[in-house]
Amino acid sequence: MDTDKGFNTTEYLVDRFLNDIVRFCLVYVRNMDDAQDIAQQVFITYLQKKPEFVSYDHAKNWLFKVAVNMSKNHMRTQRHGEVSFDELEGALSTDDTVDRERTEREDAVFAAVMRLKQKYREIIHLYYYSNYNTNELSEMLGIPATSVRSRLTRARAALEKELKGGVADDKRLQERDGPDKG
Amino acid sequence: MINDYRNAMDRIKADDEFKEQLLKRLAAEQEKPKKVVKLTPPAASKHLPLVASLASAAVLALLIYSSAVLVLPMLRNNAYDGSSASPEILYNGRNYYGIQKEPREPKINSGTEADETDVGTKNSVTSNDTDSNIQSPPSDSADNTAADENGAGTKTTDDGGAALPKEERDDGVNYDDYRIISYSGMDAETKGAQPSENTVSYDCVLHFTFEGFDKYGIKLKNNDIVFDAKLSENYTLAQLLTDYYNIIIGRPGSTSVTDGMLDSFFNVSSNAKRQISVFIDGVEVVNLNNVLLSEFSDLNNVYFSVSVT
Repeated sequence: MDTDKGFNTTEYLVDRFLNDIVRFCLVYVRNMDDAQDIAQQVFITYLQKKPEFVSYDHAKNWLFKVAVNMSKNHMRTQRHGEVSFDELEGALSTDDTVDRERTEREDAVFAAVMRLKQKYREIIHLYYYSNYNTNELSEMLGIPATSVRSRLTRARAALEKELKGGVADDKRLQERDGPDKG
Repeated sequence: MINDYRNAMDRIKADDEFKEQLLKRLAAEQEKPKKVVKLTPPAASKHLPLVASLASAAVLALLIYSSAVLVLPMLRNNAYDGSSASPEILYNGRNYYGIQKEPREPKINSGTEADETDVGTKNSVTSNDTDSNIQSPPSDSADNTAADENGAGTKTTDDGGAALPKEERDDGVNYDDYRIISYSGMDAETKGAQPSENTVSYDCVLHFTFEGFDKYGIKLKNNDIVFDAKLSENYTLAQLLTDYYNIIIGRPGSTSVTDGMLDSFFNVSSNAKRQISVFIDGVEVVNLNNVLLSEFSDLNNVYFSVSVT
C-alpha cells in the first residue's frame, strides 16, 4: 500500500487510480468509452469537491464511491444497446511474450464475469480485484454486510456456472441477460 | 481463477491518449476561477430598507397628527369652540364657555343704583333681573364698613367642599354616578346696613367649587345643606339658578339655613330684589344659558354674586 503523502494531488491520484477506476467502470457499464468518460468525470468531481484525504485508503474509497454512484447513474440514464463482447475482449491488451494459453484462460474468466448480472459483476470485481472486504463493500454499496456476503456467494456460483458452461455465443447470452438491469 | 481474472484486469488500461487529455482537462479545471456563489438576500430583506422608511414615515405622521390634535388645543387660550377635546384641556380656567372672550376686571360696586345701572347697561341686563345676567363682581365696596360696624355682615368661609363619606350617604342614591359640585365657601359682605327693611343693599358671594359633574347629576353641598339632583346633559347654569333658586338663594322670607344659603344667612327680606352674577374662575358669565354644567371640571370655581336691594 502506498503510504506517501501525495494522495492529495491530482497527478498522483490520476496516476495511481485512473486505471483502477476505468476497470471498475468497464465492468459496471461494459463499454470502454463509457467507462473512460465516467472515470474522467470522477476526477473532475474530485477537483470540484477537493476533499482533504487523510490517507491512501481514504482517497481510494472516496474515488471508488464516486465511481460506483456515477456508474449507477449512467446505467439509469443512458440507453444501452447490445453489448459487444468482442469489443470488451478487445479492451484487454495483449503481450506476445505472455503465454498464449494463459491469456486465453484469463480472457475466458474475464468474459465469464462480464456475462454476469451487473450486481454480481460489481461485487466480484470490488471483492476480488479491488480487495475490499465485505464491511467496506457494505458501506460503499449501501447494503448490509450480510447482503454483501450472500450476493458474493451467488456471484461466485453464477461465475462458476458460466465457466463450466464454456464459452457461449454472444447472441445466446444477450437473449438471456437482455439489457443489463443489474 | 481469481488470479486469471486479476491478470485479465491488469491488462485493461486507459488509453494513453485518453490519459493525456484527462490530465489536460484537469489542469484546465484547476485553473478555472472558482465559482463565487453570490448570496442574495431573501426577498423580504431586499425590501427591508423600504419597509423601515415607510414605518418611519408613518411614525412621523402619527407624531405630527398627535401634536396637531392634542397639543395645539392646549396651547390656545381661547380655544373652546364646542369641538371635541377633553374638558380638562379646554376648561383650564380660561374662557371655556366661549361667550366672553376677554376676562373682565372685577369692578368695584359702589352700591348705588346708578352704578348698577351703568354696569347693567354695559352688560345689557337690567338691574332687576334675579336669575339671569348680573354684572357685579365680588365687591370690595367701601360701603361695607357700615355693615361691619353693625355686625351684620360676617365674612365666613365654610369648608363644605368635601363629599359625604360613603357611609353617610343615602342608600337610594348612587353617588358614584354623580360628580359633585360642592359649596366650599361663602364670602359675603354687606353693603350698607343690615338688610332688614329692604332698604339696605349688600353684595355677597357664594363660592361654589365644582367637585364634579357628569351627565347623571349634580350635587351641591355645604356644611348644612346638601342637595343633589339628576340633571340632563344639557343642563345649563341658568336652569340651575332657576330650578334651585330657593336653595341657593333662598325662599323669600325664609330664615332657615336649610331653606337657603344666602337669604337665611343674611335674613334677607322676601321683598328684596336680588341680582345675581355668576363668575367662573374670575370671569363673569354673560349668558348663563350658554354654560352647560356638564362642561365644568373640577378645577372651576363658580361664584354667585348676589346683590340684594
